[in-house]
Amino acid sequence: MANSPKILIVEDESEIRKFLKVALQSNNMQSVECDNARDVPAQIIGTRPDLIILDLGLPDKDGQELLQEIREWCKTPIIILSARFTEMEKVLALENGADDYLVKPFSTAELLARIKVALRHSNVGGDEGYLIQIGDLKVDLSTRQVTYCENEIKLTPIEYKLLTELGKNAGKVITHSQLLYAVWGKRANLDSSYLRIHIQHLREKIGDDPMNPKYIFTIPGIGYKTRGI
Amino acid sequence: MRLMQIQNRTRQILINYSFALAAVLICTLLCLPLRERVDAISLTMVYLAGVVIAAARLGIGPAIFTSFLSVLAFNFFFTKPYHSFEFYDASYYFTFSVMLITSLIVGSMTAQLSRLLKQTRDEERDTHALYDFARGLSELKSKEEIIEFAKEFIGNFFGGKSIFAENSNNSGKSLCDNVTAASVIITNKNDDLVGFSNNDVIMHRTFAGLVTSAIARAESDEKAALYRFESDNEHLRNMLLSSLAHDLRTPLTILNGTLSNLFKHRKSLPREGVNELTSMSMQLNRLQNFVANSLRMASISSGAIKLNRETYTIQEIIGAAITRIEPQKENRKILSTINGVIPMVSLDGAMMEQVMFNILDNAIKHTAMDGEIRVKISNSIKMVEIAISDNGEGIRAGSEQSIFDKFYSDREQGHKNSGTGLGLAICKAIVNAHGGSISATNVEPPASGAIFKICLPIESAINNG
Repeated sequence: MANSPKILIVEDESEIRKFLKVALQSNNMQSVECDNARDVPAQIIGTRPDLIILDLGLPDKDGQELLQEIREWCKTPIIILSARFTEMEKVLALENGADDYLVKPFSTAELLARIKVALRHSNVGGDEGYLIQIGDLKVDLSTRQVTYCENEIKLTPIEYKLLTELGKNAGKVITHSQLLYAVWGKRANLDSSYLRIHIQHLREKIGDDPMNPKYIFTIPGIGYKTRGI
Repeated sequence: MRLMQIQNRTRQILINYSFALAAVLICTLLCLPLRERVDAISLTMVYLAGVVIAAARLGIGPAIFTSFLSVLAFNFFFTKPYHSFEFYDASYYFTFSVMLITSLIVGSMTAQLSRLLKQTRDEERDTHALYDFARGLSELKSKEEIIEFAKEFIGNFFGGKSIFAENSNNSGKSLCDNVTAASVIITNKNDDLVGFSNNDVIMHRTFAGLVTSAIARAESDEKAALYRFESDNEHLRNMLLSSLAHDLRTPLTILNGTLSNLFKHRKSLPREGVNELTSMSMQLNRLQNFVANSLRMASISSGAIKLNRETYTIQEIIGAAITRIEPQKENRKILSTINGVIPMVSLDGAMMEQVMFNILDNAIKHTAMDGEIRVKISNSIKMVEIAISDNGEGIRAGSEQSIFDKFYSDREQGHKNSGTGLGLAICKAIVNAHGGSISATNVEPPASGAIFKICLPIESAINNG
C-alpha cells in the first residue's frame, strides 16, 4: 500500500464518510477522516494527504471560508462535495481554489474519476511537460506549434494562450474570470462575451463543433473545461 | 376669463381713483371753515397730507391724480375770487407750481416707499409660508399625505382651492407650469385667476417644486422599504431552500454511495438479490431526479427568477446539454443543423442549458432505443429559434399546452418512463423569464414525433437585466 494515495475526507455526516472510505479502499486508496473544520489544518499537516475531499456544509465553519484559508498555505488538490447546487456557489468554490466540484447526490464512479484526474494533475506538476496533447490536438510549448492530426494550425497569440491555459488544466473546470485573468492578466476586467468570441474562433480553427465538442467543453454559467488527457 | 380679469382690474383702478377724489374732497371740507381765519398758503399743507395718504394707500397713479386735483381745488376754493379758477394775486402762479411739484415729489416717493414696504412684507410672508410648507412636507411619509397637505396648504395660501395633477399639461384655470413633474393647480373661489401676480407664479412654482421633490423622496423611501422587505424575504427563502436541499440530498447521497459499494459485491450475492438491488437503484435514480427537479422548480417559482445573463452562442449551450445527456441516450442519434448565421444571445447559461437538457431528456424518454432526435437552430427576425424534434409517438392530441403544466404526467398512456411532471414546467418558466416562448406540436403525418420550439429574443437584456 506504499504507493496508494492518501485522501483526507472532511465531512460531518458519518454515513457519507463511511461509504466514501469503503469506495476509496476498494479502489486502492487510503483515507483519513475529519468531521469538523477546526481540525482540518492539523490533519493536513499531520497526515500530508494527496487529495482533500471537502464538504461545504460543515457545522463549525463555512466551507468556502475554510477553503480560502487552506489555499493560503496548501496546494493539495481539493474536491468539493456539496448540497449547494447554484452556479454561484460552484464559481465561488473554484475561484477560492477548489480543483473540482460535485453536487450531492453524486455517483461514486464520477467521484473516483474526478479524484484520478486531480491526482494526475498534482503529480505532473508545474512545467515538466512541454507537450500538451488532447486527442489528436498537440501543442508544443517549446516551439509554440499547434498541430491537429499532424497539420499545423495558425493561432493568434490570444487563442494560443487560451488553448494552452485550457490544456494545462485538462479535466478541470476553469471559471470565466480565471481564464480572463490568465490570458489578459490584470486588465481582465473584461466581459465574458469577449472570452466567448475568442473561444468560438479557437474552436473553429481546431475543428471543434460547439454543438458536439471534442476538446473544449462549455460549462454554462461557470466556465470551460477540456477533456482529461 | 381673460376679459373678466381685465374687467376686474379696471374696477380696482376706478375704485382707487374714487378714493383719491374722496381724499381731495375731505381735505377741502376740512379747510373750508378755516378759509377766513388762516393764511391760504398754509392750507396747501392739508392738501399735501392728503396726497401723502393717497400715495401710501393707493399707489403712484392716484397720488399724481390727487396732486393735480388738489391744486385745482385749492385754486377754486381758497384763492380770491372764491369759486372760480381765476386769481388776482399773480404770486399764486408760484404757489401753485411749488404746491404741484412738492406734492408730486412727496407723493411719488411715498408711493414708492409704501410699495417697497408691501413687497418686503409679502416676501417675508412668502418665506414663512415656504418654510412652514417645507417643514410640513418633511414630516410626511406617504405620497397621499403629501398631496393632501399640499392641496390644503397651497389652497389656503392663495385663497382658493387647489387640485393635484401629475405631469400636468393642464392649461386654463391653472397656474401650473410644465417644468415640474408634479404640479399643484390652484383655482380660486370664483374659478378664475384674478390677482395672481408674477410673484404668485414664482411662489407657485416653488411650491410645486417642493411637492415634486417631496413626492420623489416618499416614493424612493417606499421603494427602499419594499426592497428591504423583498430581500429579507428572499434571504429567508434561500435559507429554507438550502436547508431543504441539504436535508433531502444527504440521505440520497448516502443511499447512492452505499448502494454502489454494494454493487461491487454483486458476484457474491444471489441473483435475486442483484435484481432487487438493480430495481432499488433505478427507483433511487427516479427519486434523485424528482428531488433535483423539485428543488429547481422551488427556486425558480418562489418569487422572481434571478437571471445571471451573459452573452452565449446558443450552439455552446445546446452542446453542453448534448454532452451531459450522452450517458442516457444509448443508441439514439442526436443530429444538429444550423440555418444561417446565428447571433449571440444574452441568457442565463446554466438555466438555458437545463431547458435544453430537459427537452432532450423528454425526447429520449419518448423515443425508441434507436430513435432519432434532431436539433435545428435558425435565425428569424430578432429571434433565435431552436426546434428539437424526435421520431417517437408524439404528443397526445389536446395536451400540447398542458404538458407544460406543473406535475402534468402522461400516465394515462401508461408510459413506463413517466418523469416527475416538472421538467417541461421548468423549461417554460425559464424561457418565459428570458422573454421567449416555448411550444410543442406534433410532426406532420405520416411521420410521427413531437417538435418543441423555443424562441429567444436576441436583444433580451431588458428583462431582469
